[in-house]
Amino acid sequence: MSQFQVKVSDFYREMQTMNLEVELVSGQKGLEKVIPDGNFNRPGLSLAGFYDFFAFDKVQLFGMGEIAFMKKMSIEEKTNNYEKFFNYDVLCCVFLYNERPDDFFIEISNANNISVFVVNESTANILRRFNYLMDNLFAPSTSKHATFVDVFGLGVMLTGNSGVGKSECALELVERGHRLIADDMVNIKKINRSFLRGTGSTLLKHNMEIRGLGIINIREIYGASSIGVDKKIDLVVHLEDWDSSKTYDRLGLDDVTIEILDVKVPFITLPVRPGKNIPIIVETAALNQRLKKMGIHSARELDSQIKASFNKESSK
Amino acid sequence: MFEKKVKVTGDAGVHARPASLIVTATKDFLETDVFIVKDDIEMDAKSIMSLLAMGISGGSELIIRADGKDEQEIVNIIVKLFDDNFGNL
Repeated sequence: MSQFQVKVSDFYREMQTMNLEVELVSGQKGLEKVIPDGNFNRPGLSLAGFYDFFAFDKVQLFGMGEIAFMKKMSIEEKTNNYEKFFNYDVLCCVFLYNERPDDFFIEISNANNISVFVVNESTANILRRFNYLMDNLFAPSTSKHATFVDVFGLGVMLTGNSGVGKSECALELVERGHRLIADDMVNIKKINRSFLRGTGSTLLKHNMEIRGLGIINIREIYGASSIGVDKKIDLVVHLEDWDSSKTYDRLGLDDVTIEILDVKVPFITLPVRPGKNIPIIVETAALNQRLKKMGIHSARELDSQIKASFNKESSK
Repeated sequence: MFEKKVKVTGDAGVHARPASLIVTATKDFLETDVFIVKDDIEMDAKSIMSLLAMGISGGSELIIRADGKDEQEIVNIIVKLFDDNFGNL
């Protein structure tokens, strides 16, 4: 698992992708600052001159109260208080209700390289959205060498060594009307304790490498309906060369799982042999997984039917 | 396991042709897992798309890592490709 840093610039980008009306009004250089955690601070007390327990390393939210207070401050108070405020290594400031801070505030934040954003949103709304945004930014993440396809609405991640036929399998699935999300590299984020989200690399988009053909663009060839951007990971199918010494699951009675970022995901190992139609097996595996989610477990049901028939016979 | 650090010389970085050279170099090492590590992210060096996805630009610092038969040999081959700047592609 890679340990990455979340910067103010990531916070800014994420605000933009959430379609918030946001504007960076000062402190371009402050975008490089690292955000330690996803918490916020209302700097009202600090503006009034009380600096005990000032959480300067959090995102500072200026709501109606702070903005109104700042408007009432005299020039002298501003000089005094702003100097004190920016003496701390403040992370960044967000002004709500589309209220721009005064020129003096902008000037002094610029001089201290602290980013100031203006957002057109109310405090109540922004807290909800920021919490979601921060959870997203700070979610544990990892990358896997795998191919990710949306099959009948289920996110199916294909893993296996290079050359085992992950991409070829995905290509056949796309041909059958399913959606390619990522080929060869899947970025995985743990959204909560049971939810992993997989996306493709922003660099690769929906390009794919097929041996003998080279790099092909799935979106251009098969159109917009053949691709997806992200998806929950519902099933991991591991492809491997047929190993005659290994025993493969013949019943499917037990549910095998694999742990990714401490989340258990249903896991199937499929042996690959020339002439085996892997895509159709993956399709069936996805449908079977869907049935299991609805509470219908084929193997167990057959087993209980057989057991029931034995009981009938013995009671005769 | 054997690994070596390498710095990407030149400005071009690992674009399509260098990536294909790396992948081609690994093709005879069937019993060896070969990885390229950038910023703690480990990627399969046998996959062109993985290498491209890493976005290895000029000046990046990487670790070439191999595990299995002839692991030293393949690491040295790849390090040499980087040192030679892929024949100045």
